[in-house]
This record gives sequence, structure tokens and C-alpha cells, in this order.
Amino acid sequence: MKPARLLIAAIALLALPACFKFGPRLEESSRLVMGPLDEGTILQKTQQTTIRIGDREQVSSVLVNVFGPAAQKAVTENVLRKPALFGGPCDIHSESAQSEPNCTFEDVSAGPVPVVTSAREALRTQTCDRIVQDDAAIRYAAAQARDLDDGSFIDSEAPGDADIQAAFELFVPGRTLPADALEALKTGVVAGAQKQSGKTAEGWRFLFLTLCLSPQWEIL
Amino acid sequence: MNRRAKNEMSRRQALQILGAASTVPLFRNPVGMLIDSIVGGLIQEARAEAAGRPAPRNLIVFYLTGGAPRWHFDAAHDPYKPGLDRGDNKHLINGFQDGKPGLYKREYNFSGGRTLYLPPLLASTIAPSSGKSVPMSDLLRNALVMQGVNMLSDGHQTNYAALVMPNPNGISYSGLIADASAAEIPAIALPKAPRAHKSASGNGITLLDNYAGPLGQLLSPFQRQPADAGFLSRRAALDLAMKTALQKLGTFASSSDPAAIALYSAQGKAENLLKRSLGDLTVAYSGLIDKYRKIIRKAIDDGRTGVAGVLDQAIPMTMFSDAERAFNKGVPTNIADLRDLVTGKTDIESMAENFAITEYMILNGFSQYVSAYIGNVYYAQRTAGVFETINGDEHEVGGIVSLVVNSARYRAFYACLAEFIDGLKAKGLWNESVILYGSEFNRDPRPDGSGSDHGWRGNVYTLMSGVIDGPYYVGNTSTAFGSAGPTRIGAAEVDSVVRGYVASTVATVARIQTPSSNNSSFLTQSAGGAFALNNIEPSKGVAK
Repeated sequence: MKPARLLIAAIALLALPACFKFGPRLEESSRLVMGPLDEGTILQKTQQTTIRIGDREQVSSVLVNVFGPAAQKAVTENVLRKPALFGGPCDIHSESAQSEPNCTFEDVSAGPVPVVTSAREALRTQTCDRIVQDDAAIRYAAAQARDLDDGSFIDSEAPGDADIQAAFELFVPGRTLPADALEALKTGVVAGAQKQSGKTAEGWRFLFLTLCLSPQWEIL
Repeated sequence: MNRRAKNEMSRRQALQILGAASTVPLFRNPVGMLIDSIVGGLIQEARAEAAGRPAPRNLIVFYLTGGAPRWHFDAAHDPYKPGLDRGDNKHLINGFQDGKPGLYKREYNFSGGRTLYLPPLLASTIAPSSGKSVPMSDLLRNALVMQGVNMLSDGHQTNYAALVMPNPNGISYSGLIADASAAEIPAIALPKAPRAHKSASGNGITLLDNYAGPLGQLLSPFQRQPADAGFLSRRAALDLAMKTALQKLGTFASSSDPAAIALYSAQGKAENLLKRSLGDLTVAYSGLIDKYRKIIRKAIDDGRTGVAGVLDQAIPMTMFSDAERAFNKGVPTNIADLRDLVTGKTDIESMAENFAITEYMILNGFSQYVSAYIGNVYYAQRTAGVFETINGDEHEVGGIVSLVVNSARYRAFYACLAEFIDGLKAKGLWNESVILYGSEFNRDPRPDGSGSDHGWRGNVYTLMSGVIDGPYYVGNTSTAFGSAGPTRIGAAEVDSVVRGYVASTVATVARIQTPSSNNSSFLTQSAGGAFALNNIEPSKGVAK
């Protein structure tokens, strides 16, 4: 195939709708079931839509990547040590060697695949709350958004549109915020700063709190 | 190889390379795209429809472990033959005063006096915490008993799952409730209870695997962890701004991931519950479990006097003839008091835990679906001095042991149920709640009394709710009542009740979509709101 045609094919494939990448996963299952007596077997097919969400390793890695070492304690206590809610592999033999294991014998039977429950969301919410209270976490995240080493600028500069978009992409890479979501986040930023006598750091804090709370980044 | 073939192979190779490099799975064909959009549309349609529907009723499913025998409890044997003498098998004396076919809205009837073989269980009284004794049969006033249910298969595991997911691989009751409920923890399954779960929208079920601080396990994620008071105050003040932003982000997320709605809904519910003050869960729970322990203890202790003919007197095994002792295969023959066969060891804890948790979660509105198991409270002494549980298969336990042990179970169960229902009534929730109890199948008592076998063609489900104007009985339990006595009471007639009818009936009363659209409901709602029996075919006792 000529290089030009290869390039066109590549562009065509990569330009396919985003639903291929992010769409719901379909499960189709078939099962033979005995029908009422004398009626033979009935083939049953059902379909349902499920959503794949990250396990405790995925959730903790996103939070630590975004907020840095300041997030580790909250993440360890609320996420890594909750396999029953967040799912994820649990090697009891390696865990038992640690002084503070993330997985205990009670967790061994926890399912590896996480499901959507409000209990999981409650712990994730509380984790976000705990993390954003730490100024060091906010500075780390803001610095990442601007691709800088130092986030001390949050004390003097409020987040602009580009900062909000960049902050969003820390959680959900490659996606562009629609205008209405951007405006809503800006409103929160302004309101957050106003609650603390105009301190710009508060605007950054509530920006990252809202983005952390939004569950979209859990979706695989 | 000619030039064209060489090019063809090169195109295939190129596609393979592109497939490996791309994040787009190449197996997603145009049909897959079409299915995605159809499913997405169906979900949106279902949600739009659901938005206009009332919330589901609470649904509590109690699982009677092991294929529990119901033929001396609330299953009526051959309602068309009201005579109480069932021939050689003295287990069977239940019936109705009027054995007319059709709708069975009658007073329950018992044998005239005592019997060594079948305690007239439903004639005895139980006492919830109010202290006011009530006949067990009172609980049937708001009940529909569906008997002779053909489970379509004979297996503990299959039918254990079918109790909560009546259509194999279909949506479960817990999934239907979770998808339609605004409760913060909409569906929970307690230890050992059936937990087969499938939701159309991706909502999960919360599982409890042990009883160590159960309320803490269920609710501790929602108890506020220590935080700076100033931060929490500012957070609360910015609640509207954050919710608006989250709503916009949620709409954005679900535009490409329709199932993301379940995730945002769960996050919203979590926020709601985090704002509530849950109080001291340990204190709340200890009060509840103490209450149920007392109720159960009273039910089984009273049973020693209340279960006439069996547990109200010392019956030595020597009273039984050889044939009658054979009736109780394996039972020690030197027992001086029949009651000692069973009362040496009890297990009231799990039943008390299950009811305490259920009451707390339902009455406080945290959940709308609970699945709980009801095991035996008495152990049985089948080898002298050795007490063992008979929660499971009772093929060889012998007639008397099964009767006595299960009588205690049902007395305790109904006493707890009466208490729970009183609690629902006090909160104005009895008309908004549905209780379903059943097992893998009924039991088929052997004529020689040595035990029982799987009655998978004659299962019994009981449905209770404040909106059921009963008692109602549908279906049959027997196909053969010959002169030699009943040979099979676990068998239903062909074309009789199948579990799809049960599913549709449960769904109708619970206000959820039926998992079995091919079968109609036994109950319909009148203009006044109460549910009454549908038009049924009298000769078969099934819905038309």
C-alpha cells in the first residue's frame, strides 16, 4: 500500500466517533434454559449496558498524579485500603508482609471488578475533600496545570480559561470542556475566592475540588 | 505471488498495524456502532419514562435456607380437598374451611386437636415488642401465597439465584430497584443472602459479607471524616455553584458515556447522605439487635408451650412404635423428651442481625431493597449428644426433627416479621413496602417419613404488603391424592404456575418493570389502591 493511502486509512480510523473509545460496554450473553415441560429449550439473550470504572489502583494513581505526595495519606486510608468498595487485585501474601497492609484477610473475597455504589462515591468524595484542604496539594496540581515546577502563583493569580481547561485535562486527558461547563467552573472559581475575601488560592481550591468530585475521570 | 496479491496482503498487514497502534478496537464494526446508539437511545428513553413513574416500593426478600419445607407452615395442600386427613402421611393436615376452588380468601383452619405429627403452627401466637400477642395467621391478612410454582429446574444454586433474579441472566429485582430508586444505598444483600444482581443502568448492589459492625460497614463511608470547619462551611456555601458545575460536567460525560449517569447519580446520593448526621451507629444498632434477640428467644421458648401437641409436653421417643420411629430416621431412640432433640443448642444471632439491619436501613430510608437469609434457630440432635444444623438439604433428617426445627424457625421468623411490619406501619411505610419470602423449592415429604426430597415443581412464595387485601392463595401443591395417601405434594400441574408469574406479581406490587414480560401478574390494583387477585382459572388456580 502506498504511504499516502496508509496515511488516509490511519486518519479515517482515528477519526471514528469518540463513542468507540468511551462508549458503554455491551454484554451479550446467551443461556440455554429449560422451558416449561414438553416445550424443549429456550435460548435466552439479554443485553445490558455497564460502565467500566477504575479500581483502587487507578483511582489512587490519578489522585496522586494530580495532587502529588500530599494526597498519599488520604488516598491510602480511603481508597487503597478499601478493596471491597474500589475493587482491585489483592495479594494477601505480599500485603501481610507490610507493617500496614492495604488489604487484609477480610478483603480477600472482595470482587476485583468495581461497581458503581454511593458508598464508593462517598469515600471518593471525602478523599477529595481531605486532599484539597492541603495547600501543598493545590499548589502541586496548579503547577501541573501550567506545566511549571512551582505552584506558588496560586496566591496571586486566579485561574483563567486556559488554566481551567488544563486542570480538567489533568483528570480527563484529551477532552475539551464544553462552553457551559467552563462557565460553570469559572463561576465556582470566583465564588470560591469571594468566600475567602478574594484570596485567589481559594478559587484554585474549589476548581480542583469540583474537578476531583466529578466522577468522569473514574470511567475507563 | 502477483502484484495484486502482494498489494492485498500489504493492505491487510497495514490494517493490522493500524489496529495495534490505534486506540480504536477494530472489531467494532458498523453494527456495533448501531447497537451503541440504539442502546444509548433505549437508556435515555427508559430514564425519561422512569422520570415520570412513581418511585418503587421497598422490596425486602427473605430467603429461607436450603429448600425449606412449607407444607406444615403456610402452604395449603390441595385447596380443592378440604378434608384434613391426608392418609398415611400425617404431616399434612393444613387446609381451608371452605375448599371451594378459585379465590381462597378464607379463614385458615387446623385440625381439631393436638397431633404428634404436625403442629398447627399458624394457630399459635407470637409476640412482637409491643407485647401484644397476635396469631401467626394474622400476618397472612396482607399476603398472597403462590404455591405449586414450577422452578423449571431442580438445583439449589440455580434456584437460590432465581429467588432474586427470576429470569436467568435478566435484570434482578435489586437492579430494577437500584435503577429507579432515589435512596442513597438503594440495594443491599446481607451475608449468605441471594445476591445475583444485574442492573440496566450500571447501578451496583452493596454486599455485606459479615456481621462485624454491620451498620458501620454500610454507613461509615458516609460519616464525615474530620475536616477543617472553615473549609466545610465554605464548601456548604458554595454547594449550588459546585452542583451546577457538576451537572454540566455530568451532561458532558454522559454525552459520550450514557452509563455515566449512574455514576453521577451515585455521587449526588453520596453528597446527600454525607450531609446527614447519622449519629452513633453502634448505639442505634445495639438497641435494635437486643430487641430482635428478645423477640426470637420468646418465640422459641414460648414454642415449648405454644406449639400444641409437640413442644408443650415431654414426649419420650419410646412412645413411638417401631414404624413411627422409622418415621424419624436416624433420631436417637433413647430420648426421654422430644424437645431435647432440638433445644440443646440455638442460633438466634443471625436472624436477629438480619432483621436489625433490615429495619434500620429500610425504616430510615437509606435503602429500598434488602436481601436477607433466614436460617434455623434450633440445631438438631440426630446423633446422641451431637447437635448439628439442618439449614440445608433435609433428605434424611426424619419427619419429626424437620417439623420441630422448622416450626421454631417459622415462629421466630414470623415474630420478627410482625415486629418489622409494626415498624413499617408506625412510619407509614407498610403500604409502600413489599416482603417476599421463599426458598429454592418446597420439600416433598416422603411417605415413610424418613425425610423429604426436592419439590422443585411445587415451590411456595409468599408476598406481603399493606396494599394486598388478602389473604390469597393461588396454585396447587399436589397432583396426586390417591387412596394410598399423597405421593407427591411438591409437584405442580403442567402449565400451572411458573416462576415468571411470581416475578410479574412481585414487580407489579413493587412498582418496577417485570423481569418476565411473558407472564402476567396474579394481582391487579383497584382504583382505591389495594391489590386484589386477577381473574384466575379456577380449575388450575392460575392466571389466564
